[in-house]
Amino acid sequence: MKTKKKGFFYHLYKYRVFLLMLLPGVAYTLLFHYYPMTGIVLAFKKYTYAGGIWGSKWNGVDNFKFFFKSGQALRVIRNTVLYNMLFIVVGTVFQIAVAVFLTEIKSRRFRKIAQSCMFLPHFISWVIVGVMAFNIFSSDFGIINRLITSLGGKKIPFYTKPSAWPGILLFFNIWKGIGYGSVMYLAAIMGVDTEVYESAAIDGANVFQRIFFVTIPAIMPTVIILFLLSIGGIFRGNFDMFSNLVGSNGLLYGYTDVIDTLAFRALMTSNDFGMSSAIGFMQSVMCFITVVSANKLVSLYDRDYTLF
Amino acid sequence: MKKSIRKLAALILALALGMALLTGCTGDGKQDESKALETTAKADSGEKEDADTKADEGQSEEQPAGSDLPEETITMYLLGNKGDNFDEAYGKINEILKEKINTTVNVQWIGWGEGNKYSLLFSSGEDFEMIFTASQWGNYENTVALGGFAELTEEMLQKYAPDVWEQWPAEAWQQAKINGKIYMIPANYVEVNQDVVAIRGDLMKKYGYDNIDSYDKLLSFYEDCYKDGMYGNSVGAASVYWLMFEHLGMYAMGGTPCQGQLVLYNCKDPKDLSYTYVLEWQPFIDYCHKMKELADAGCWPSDVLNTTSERQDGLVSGRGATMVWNAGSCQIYANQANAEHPDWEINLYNIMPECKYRATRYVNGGVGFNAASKKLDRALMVYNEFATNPEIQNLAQLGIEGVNYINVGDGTYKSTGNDFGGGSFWGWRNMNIMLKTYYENPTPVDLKVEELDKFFKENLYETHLLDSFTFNTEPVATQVAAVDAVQSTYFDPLINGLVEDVDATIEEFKAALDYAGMQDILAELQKQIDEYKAAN
Amino acid sequence: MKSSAKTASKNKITGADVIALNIIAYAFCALIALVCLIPFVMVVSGSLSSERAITENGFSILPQEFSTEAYKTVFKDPWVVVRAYATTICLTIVGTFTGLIIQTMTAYVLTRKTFGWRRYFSFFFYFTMLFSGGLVPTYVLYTNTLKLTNNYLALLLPLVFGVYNLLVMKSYIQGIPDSLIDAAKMDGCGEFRILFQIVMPLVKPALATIGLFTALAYWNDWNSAMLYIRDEKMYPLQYFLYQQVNNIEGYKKLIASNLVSGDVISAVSLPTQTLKLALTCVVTGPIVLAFPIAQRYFVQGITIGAVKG
Repeated sequence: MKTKKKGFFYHLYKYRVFLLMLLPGVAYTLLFHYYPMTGIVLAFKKYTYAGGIWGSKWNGVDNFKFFFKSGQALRVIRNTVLYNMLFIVVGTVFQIAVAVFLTEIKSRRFRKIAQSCMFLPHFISWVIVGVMAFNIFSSDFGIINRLITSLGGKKIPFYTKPSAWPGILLFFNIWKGIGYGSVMYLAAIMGVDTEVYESAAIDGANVFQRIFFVTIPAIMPTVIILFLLSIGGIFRGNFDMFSNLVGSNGLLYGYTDVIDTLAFRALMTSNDFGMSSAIGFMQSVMCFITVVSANKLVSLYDRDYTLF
Repeated sequence: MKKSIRKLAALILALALGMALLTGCTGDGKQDESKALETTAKADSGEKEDADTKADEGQSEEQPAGSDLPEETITMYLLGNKGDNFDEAYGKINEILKEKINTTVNVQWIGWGEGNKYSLLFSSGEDFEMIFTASQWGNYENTVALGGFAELTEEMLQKYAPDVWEQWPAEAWQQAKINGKIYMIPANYVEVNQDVVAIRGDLMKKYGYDNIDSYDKLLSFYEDCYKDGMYGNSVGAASVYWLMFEHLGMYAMGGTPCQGQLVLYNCKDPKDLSYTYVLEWQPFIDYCHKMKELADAGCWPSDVLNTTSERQDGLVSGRGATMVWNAGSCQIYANQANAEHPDWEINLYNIMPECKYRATRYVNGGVGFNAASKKLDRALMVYNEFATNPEIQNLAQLGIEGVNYINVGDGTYKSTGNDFGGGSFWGWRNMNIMLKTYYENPTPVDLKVEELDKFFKENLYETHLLDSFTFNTEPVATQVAAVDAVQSTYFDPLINGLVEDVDATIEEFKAALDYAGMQDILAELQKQIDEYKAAN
Repeated sequence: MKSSAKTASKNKITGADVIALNIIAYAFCALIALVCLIPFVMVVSGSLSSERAITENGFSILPQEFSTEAYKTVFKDPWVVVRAYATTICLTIVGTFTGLIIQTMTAYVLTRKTFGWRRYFSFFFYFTMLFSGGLVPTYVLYTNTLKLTNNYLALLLPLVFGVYNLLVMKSYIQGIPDSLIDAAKMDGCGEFRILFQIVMPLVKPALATIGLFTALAYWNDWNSAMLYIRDEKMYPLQYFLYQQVNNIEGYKKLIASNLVSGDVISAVSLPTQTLKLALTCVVTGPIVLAFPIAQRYFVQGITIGAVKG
């Protein structure tokens, strides 16, 4: 291409309209994201009020040490990644299924009502979800155990049984995000040109073939972008969810402790800015590496689907 | 090649845009830095000078009367929320302050549970003078470690808060000291927050107990309750845990990790300056075994660690036979439950009558002064008024007479039910002038509370040197964070008797704590105790 | 009506496959909708129950010991609540519109193949999702550098430009065939005109979605108010309610841990569980009413053909 040989200022001029359109977003990002990003140095400093971000003394990697010294670093990293993978895969499948099925349903009233209902969990805070979960799973007056005992069965002590928790956490995670997530896929399906469907119908494909060969490929860019965006948080645990459902029940930690809950417990009393920055920074770096690799993989498939 | 040129171009563009945008902000940023430097300098050397010059000013005026002082506004942060008539009450306070010291107080709030706002105030260089603080739970040690509070010298206190300096006991100042320096004015207030047990009288009769006056009797009562299909204590053993070591005369060492649950000292013997690490302490191990027995028997639900119930819920709802809490709280709920179920005959019991008791520390509430403030002198004068002027004390504590409370005379008051709010009004409490609660038609529970309160106050431990000691976690911050992270994995299940194998769990717990650096912490603790001993 | 074009097209073929799919679709969606609805019904009933009943028996489908105590606590001073509602509604409307325009405009540029620097800028934006300076520098920026304490801008700015929304928007715009934009370009349309007259109408479902997300973010935000607003008159709804609950809870917690003696009886007897539930209802109510407005766009498709013609 000819343009590639041209200089920077040529491009600056050529892209002037684009750059003008980008200006608000770029200005915002520089001011509100890049400017405070200097705070990352706190991860390597012994913070004091008087010194502030710049004046505080450097302390090398001291702030990172507590995480590994806890002896639970590997366990919480493993839990965080496994939970997130589970949530991403199962959540995506459910959200796409709901979106696809909703578009196939003819009754508009049913569609609207069903979708409105699915949005409701989004508004129930994790604190309340935690109380509800206790109402369902508690050994005394939990709904499940009351049912079991009334049928003459033996109580299941969910709160002393760690292996039950990946399933419970998965359920609540999907439940809470299904309305929100499926809307994104619905919007993508709605953006698909109707003519494509018509031509598929004429070709004699049945509905299932149409879903798998027309609808799903058509929303693939959205699926991949959302997947990459979730991958970008794979080392971050949803603190609100874990802390409200599991609480401080040490018996369950083997299966439920994630990086964020561990860091919270460690820093709750000392409130150490340096150490919390350090944990955040470590998570950022691990996510960064993961997402850059994933992005690279996607770009081998199709560059248009990538995040950057 | 081409690629890298493009990359460079993009980078330059981004930088150019950034520069254009940030010119405005960098200016401010620099100012911030220089400001920060200034304050560091002040913290290092200037502060004393500052105080000295102010002292000179004060001297020239002699007895500062309100009209002579320049007008000032003092910003004070409280924790919590303001209730009814708060602004009205502070309007009255400001009238008095205006006349006496030409000052107006402006109150700002940090809600309960908005803890990180506390440190953000100091980080951002917010302009304020006074803030509520308390040892441990009220950020006192943290803030001092980060250089947030101004040091209060004896001269300053004598000069600007003379009444406080005179009236406050030496012990209060002693407790406020960190590395020999005072950074807060503690409230002149102590109470005996001893846990007692509220027990269902009807059940005691049923199982044949005249009185429950020992720890062992309480535990056997729990077992009797279970046999009858009732929880002894519906929130588990966590509340009983403290009673366990308190009845042996052991108390948590101030400032140690995990709210002091792992390291105790012996209150019975003032000469005993050693610490006790609970994992190597036989009574703790026995306790864990006993709790396992009770938990297995079903004295509390197996999911206590997740329960949303509060301490009183079991007792009030009839699902539990007892509740463990301080006398004041037990009193509220025992009265409530008795009113609804007179046949329950709940009363309060002290399960350690042969023991002595410990009062709370003065530093459990106080006021800290912002190191960056330039109006320290005036802020101290304001504190002096709040703490020693009965009129202001009552306004700030109870609200408006006749509206929020009624002065019954004899130094007692009655609440009218108009909520003055749940704020941290405790920073300037002064036992000498505070009004006390008046009970109109005392119930048996009320009488018992009064009796217990009197008994506790008459049987206090001698002052122990370690009462005023607070462990400084700074040198072992990494280890403390790691230990805090590990603790609840084992500790909470252990003390509630929920583990499979007590001995194996204790061993595992010990190994995990050692890996996290518990031994370093204990060594540092010993070192600090030795230094403390030498200094006092 | 173009709205029913998509469903109508499916009606043409009716076979066993369609019936099977319909059964699965109805059953699946109905089941999920029910699982989502029941807990919310419990929240509503719980908010109308007495605090005692909730702590003793847990949640149920129907209110137990009917009581409006929690709502009385929330609406103790009704005008304050009305003002908080007004603040939140204004904030949500202004924020959503500004946000949508900036986000869509940026997303559009990032999809244009003729813009050679689009990948660098995408990275420039995405990077901020991974790395952030944390609470302290952001707080200092808002309060100290920009002096936005007690300024509505402090509530507006933190959510006006979300990178997540931006990238999702980008993926939607990517679905528009390039030929359409190229054709417009040939006709002499400028980029702004293409964006507003061709792209925007084509991505209405996406605009509705991102608009909804932005609106929800504003609606649910209490954090900015907690950090930057001191004047009670300026509290948005969520923070007003949040701090009510939090104050009671925090105070109870202090008393529970024996740090403060229980000499303030009033705080102890206040409802917290039911208050939390009532709060959820008060917050969700208007959204449930407003939801169908946005819903119109993502339960019915649009045809590119219709726009083309």
